[in-house]
Amino acid sequence: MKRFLRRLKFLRRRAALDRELAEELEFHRAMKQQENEAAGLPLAEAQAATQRQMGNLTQAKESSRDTWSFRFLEQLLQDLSVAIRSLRRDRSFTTVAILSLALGIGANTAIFTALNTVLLKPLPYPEPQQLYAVTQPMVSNAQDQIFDPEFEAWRNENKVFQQLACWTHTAFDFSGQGSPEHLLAASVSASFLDTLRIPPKIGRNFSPQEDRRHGPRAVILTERFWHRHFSADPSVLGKSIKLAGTGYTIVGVLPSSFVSPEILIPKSSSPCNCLPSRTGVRVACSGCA
Amino acid sequence: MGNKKLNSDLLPGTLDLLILKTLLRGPMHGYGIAQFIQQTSEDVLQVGEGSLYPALERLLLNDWVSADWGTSENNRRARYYQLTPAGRKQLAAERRDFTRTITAIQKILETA
Repeated sequence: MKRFLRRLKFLRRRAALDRELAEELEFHRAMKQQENEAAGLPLAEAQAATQRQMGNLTQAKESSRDTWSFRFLEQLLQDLSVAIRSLRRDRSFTTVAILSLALGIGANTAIFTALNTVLLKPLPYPEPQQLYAVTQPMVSNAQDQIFDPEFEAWRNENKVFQQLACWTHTAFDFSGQGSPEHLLAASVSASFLDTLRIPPKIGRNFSPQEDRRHGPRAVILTERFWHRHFSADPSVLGKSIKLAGTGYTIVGVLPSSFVSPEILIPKSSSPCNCLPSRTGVRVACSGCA
Repeated sequence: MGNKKLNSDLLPGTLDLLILKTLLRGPMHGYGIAQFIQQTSEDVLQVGEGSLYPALERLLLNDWVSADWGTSENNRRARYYQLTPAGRKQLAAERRDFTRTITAIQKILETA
């Protein structure tokens, strides 16, 4: 460490040290020449002999300098400055190079992020290998969706899965707590949280009554929503919030591992304003084998 | 036996040792050190500038010698090197090491 500091000090005084070294070597040369002259050699010959005896002075200087300089670092800096200068000289090449690098890195990052979430990271639920998405192909609609009566039929006749659950995404205008906002919600069957094996953090899951048509309107909040609108107050259970102008009773809060959407409601109490008709709730369906 | 240019052929550290030992006689400039080593070894050991000055810089960096500009015998500006207390200690240590190594080599050479 001390040696390193000394070396830094040497580095700062570099120019002076270079001069001193040159002067020192010159002194050495002069002394040697004097010696050769004293030995009786003519001046020219003495000079040549000195030259010969001294060998390569530049090399001597450089290897002396190497002892105290950060040679590697200095060369690196030199190379860098050359690189930057030549990049600056050739603008169009630089632009193309930087653009292709940026695109390449960007595309890679984007693809990896997507792959990581979709393929590599396991689903954030217990025993994710037992979860399956069950769908039926739709002729007219590219999205894999089923209607409510079909889901009921599947559930009643299910002999393959431990449990079936269904959900669909919907959105609400939420008001009554600060400024109104547009919320992403999932309307789900009461079996949804059981199928994913996510117990609510506080409160309870939807009850069978709430799962029925025209049953009590209930809502389960995600932890994020609970923090944002209720400052994580546990006494929110039993309170009512207004979704699309209708009151829903808060029955539970989800653990933080469940992130999206922001609230869950039973599909039976989904307001009809987001669905076309009484033909049924369009849902995707998943089961737990 | 021919003349020997002091370089890495010699046991490592030998040049440092010789310089430190030479400086024990008092402050000296580079040329003087080279002269002294050459004369004392009766021209067997010749120190080239290419090894001498890097070695001196190394010793300076390790704080084993210090350097000051002075005036030489023939009234020229010269850089005089001087042993530091750390240099004295280093000399003693290197001397011990050297003696041990040489003794070891001798032992091997003297086996039948």
